[in-house]
Amino acid sequence: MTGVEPWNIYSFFSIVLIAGLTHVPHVYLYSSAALKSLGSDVEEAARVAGASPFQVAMHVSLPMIMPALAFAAVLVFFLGFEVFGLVLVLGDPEGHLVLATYLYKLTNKLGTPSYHLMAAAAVCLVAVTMPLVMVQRWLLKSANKYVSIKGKGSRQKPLPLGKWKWLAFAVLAAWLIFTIVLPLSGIVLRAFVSYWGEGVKLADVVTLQHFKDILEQPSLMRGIFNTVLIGIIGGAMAVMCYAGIALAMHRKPDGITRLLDYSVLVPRAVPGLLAGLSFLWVFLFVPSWLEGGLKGFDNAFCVWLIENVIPQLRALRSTIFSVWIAYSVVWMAYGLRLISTALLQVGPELEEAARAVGASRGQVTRDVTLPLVKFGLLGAWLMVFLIFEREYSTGVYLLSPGTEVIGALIVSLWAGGSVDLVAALSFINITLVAIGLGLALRFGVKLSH
Amino acid sequence: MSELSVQNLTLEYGSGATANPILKGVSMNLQRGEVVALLGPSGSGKTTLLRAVAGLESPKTGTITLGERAIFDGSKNLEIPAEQRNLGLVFQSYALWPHKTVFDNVAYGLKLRKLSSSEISDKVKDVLGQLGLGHLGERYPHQLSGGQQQRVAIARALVYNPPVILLDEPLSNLDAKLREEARAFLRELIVRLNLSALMVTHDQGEAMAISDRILLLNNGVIEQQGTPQSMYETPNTLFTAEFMGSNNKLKGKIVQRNGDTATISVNGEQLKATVRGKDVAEEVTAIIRLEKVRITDSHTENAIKLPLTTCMYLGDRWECLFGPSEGGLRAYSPFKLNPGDYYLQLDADKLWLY
Repeated sequence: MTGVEPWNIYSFFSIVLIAGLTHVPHVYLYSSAALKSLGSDVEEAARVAGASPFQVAMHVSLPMIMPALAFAAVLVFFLGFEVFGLVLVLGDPEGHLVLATYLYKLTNKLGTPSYHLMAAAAVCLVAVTMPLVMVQRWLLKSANKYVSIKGKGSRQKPLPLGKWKWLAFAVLAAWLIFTIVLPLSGIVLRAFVSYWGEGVKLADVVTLQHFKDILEQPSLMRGIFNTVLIGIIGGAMAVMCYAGIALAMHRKPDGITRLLDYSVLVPRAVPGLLAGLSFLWVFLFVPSWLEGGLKGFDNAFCVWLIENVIPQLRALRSTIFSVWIAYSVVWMAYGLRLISTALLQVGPELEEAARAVGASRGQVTRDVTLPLVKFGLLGAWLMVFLIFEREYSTGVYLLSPGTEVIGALIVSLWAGGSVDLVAALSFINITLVAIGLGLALRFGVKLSH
Repeated sequence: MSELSVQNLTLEYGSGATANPILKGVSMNLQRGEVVALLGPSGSGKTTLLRAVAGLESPKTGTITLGERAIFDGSKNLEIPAEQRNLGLVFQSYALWPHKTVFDNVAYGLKLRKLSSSEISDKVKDVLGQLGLGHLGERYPHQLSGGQQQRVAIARALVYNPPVILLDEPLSNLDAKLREEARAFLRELIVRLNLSALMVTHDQGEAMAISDRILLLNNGVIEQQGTPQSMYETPNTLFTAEFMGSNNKLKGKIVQRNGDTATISVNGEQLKATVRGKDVAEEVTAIIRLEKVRITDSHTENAIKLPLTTCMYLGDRWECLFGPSEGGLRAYSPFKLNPGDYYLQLDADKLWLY
């Protein structure tokens, strides 16, 4: 438009910058939660001593949320390994590759999947990320000394910023424009025009043709339907499973719980691409391996198993259930964390009081704990819905007629070059997410604790 | 047969090398219709003892017996879970379930015992009526005042008629004025319903007012137990004497001793006193209650002469400080005193040596 290229979006630096920007929400969520739990009194004490708002932020607020920031930093490092779609789209023109796209393209170019290479890459990744998981947990534990003890009635009073107000506003506005407004409007535009370039007048090229194309392709329609299904029903089922596990781990600091705490992070430690692949292998190989093992035994029960259960296991692969399992396991650590946090909000005395009047542990859970975390569970459902909707890399290798989801479809369509369909599908996806979010917020679900 | 019996109970937090012993061998008995107060400073183990009886903490060794039934026995590895002990427990913070109405809060214990809904309704209404909450059945906890919440917590613990009711600092969550009324209310309720109660408190005034017997805990062991009167008027150790009332503390040296009476030298003056502690050394601490110090203008026996420093108005009387704050004396006076020197008479049988 201006005749000058302001920056090269295909350079690796730009890719890194954009990837960083997309991770801002994660850091924001953790830091804002930590900042909210800081009583106003520590900041007010600094102001009385003579600090300007900027100094308060630098010398008091920031150091006090160090653990949250460190935790978010480790999380963002993990997520960096995950980055797939961004590099897939922007890396091509200049040939930039990351591990995930390298493995993906290897399969596409060679035709036959190089399973051994992928398995090796996965093992390396887990070896790198497991120590990071331990670091992360250690950071969380040492965070306790930063917990500010809120006295009776320590209210949250907004810090008056004075002249810094405008700078803060400008920073926020710039971030919102660059990371939300511009990309979204780009997609919306692209979905509604037939072609785009210099000198093209907008009014001439607006069209709904792309959406009509989608309506005509059964696989794409199936994909949209599956995505909605997996988001709403799948999300609810996943939350129920997470809640069951979280309740079993609730207030029981024994060895099994600690083991679970570590092991749930393993699926998250590998990029979604590889996790989805590993589930493909489960559905491909486990039935055969089971069958082989059972054939050795010669009794009626095994024969019954071979004839009835194994074919069912095989058939599972081509249902949406396989995608749901992959998503639920990959995001288990995240979901468990959401629910455990909600469970911990229930004061232990309320549960002890129930036990004192004669309730067994099961009755305590049913009559006291669960009613009190109702809203926490609904909030978790919303978060899981949002995650499942935007997931794309995990479902890529599970893609087959019947298991399409929008995310995986976008990846494969992009590889084929149909930018129009990709833009239109993206628009539909964004709309679905917006509707889901709007409905949930309308019914009073809160996003922050 | 006691309603509740605790023998040689020990309890630790943690295990192995880093174990922190909280209870170091505590024994007590509670008879039917008796109110026993577990009194002590923070960290003495009184709340831990109460929770161990309730089943919310696991002791290490010892036994706890409820009537004829053993509910904990360290040697036999027997520990009955809290939900099967059939005790009533009133929490310091009341712990009312916010998502249930007052009626449901109280009825929950009966529902778990599988009573019919008409029986439940009758019993709940009865108990709420006895506690003056009859009209509040459909309210939620957050709609009640602190005093009302406390009574709901008590109702919840009483409704299924447990043999013993356990109270964890029942009055400390109320503000000072309310505390006085609640104290009377609690004592009257316990007497009227002939309850057996075990109460934890750190306030010796509360303990003396409400209970029939006091157990004073110090660092995980029982320092002294007895009726409130015996604890206040005949303490056996320095800790008990200092905990149970407002005291003057003097340091002195025994000059002459004759069995239970002795003469001590304090700042040059010679005073007759009573020996109350065991194994009293030559350097002694002398304790006298504030209200037992007599203020006179003229020279009397067994008195210390001190100048008046200041008088503090307490409403019903004045508290006057004589001499320096370290090593001086405090005493009560019905009216304000003029500055000058006074003789503070310390009767020999009220001046205790430890």
